[in-house]
Amino acid sequence: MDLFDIPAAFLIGALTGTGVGGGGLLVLYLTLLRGVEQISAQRLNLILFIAVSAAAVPYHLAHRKVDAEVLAVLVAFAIPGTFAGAAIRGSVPSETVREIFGIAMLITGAYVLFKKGGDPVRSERGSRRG
Amino acid sequence: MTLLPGKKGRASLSLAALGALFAGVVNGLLGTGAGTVFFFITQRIYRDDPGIGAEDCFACAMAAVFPVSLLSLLTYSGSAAGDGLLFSLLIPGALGGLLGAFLSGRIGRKTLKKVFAAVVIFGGAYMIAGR
Repeated sequence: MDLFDIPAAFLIGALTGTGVGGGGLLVLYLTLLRGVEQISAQRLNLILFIAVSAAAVPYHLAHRKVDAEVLAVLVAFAIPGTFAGAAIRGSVPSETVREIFGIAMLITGAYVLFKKGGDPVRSERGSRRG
Repeated sequence: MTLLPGKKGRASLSLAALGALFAGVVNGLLGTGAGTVFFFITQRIYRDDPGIGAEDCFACAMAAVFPVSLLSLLTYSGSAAGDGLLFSLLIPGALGGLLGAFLSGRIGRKTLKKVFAAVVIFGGAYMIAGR
């Protein structure tokens, strides 16, 4: 265990919980700073994300408006996509997945940096239940 | 607050379906990313709905990405390298997630987003460069 593992996981979990982002951060931390292989880092990231969302999702469902119909459509159509993505991952070298991941990080960073609006704090819609 | 009937509803349904398919591919391939796509989709669907805020869209995205991530994880069976790190990551990660959910909507995120964007852009460029 590395000295920075605990604070890094806590910060990444907190960022994920606020909605700022975080999914890719753990993979970056594990691959670039801890030397974990790309596919293994992605797997660990998924496990951590599931643990984080298991804690955060019930809170969000209790305090926000979530449309069950939209939720069902999103999950239903994402399932075949997930299998397709896994098949692609299994058919290309780990280095290629790493490069694609890097490109995805660049796009995510640019999107977060330059998109307008979407900040709950600045929302004037007053949609919180509580 | 649902997929409306008529032309607008069909457009929303098409956006949700195609976007979710893409989100699944990204998550299956990279083990992350579906949440960002889901958030984008829900924001587009509800952009004209004054009763739905960004925090509601985020909650919907989080709820959707949870089962998708579980499914993605199943496709990694047999790849257990690095599992020794799990114990040092899991509990602090979950506690951080709980704190983040509590703080969501209560704190200004502008600076956090800039820091996050800078880190992922730097990390992404570093990954592509190979070293």
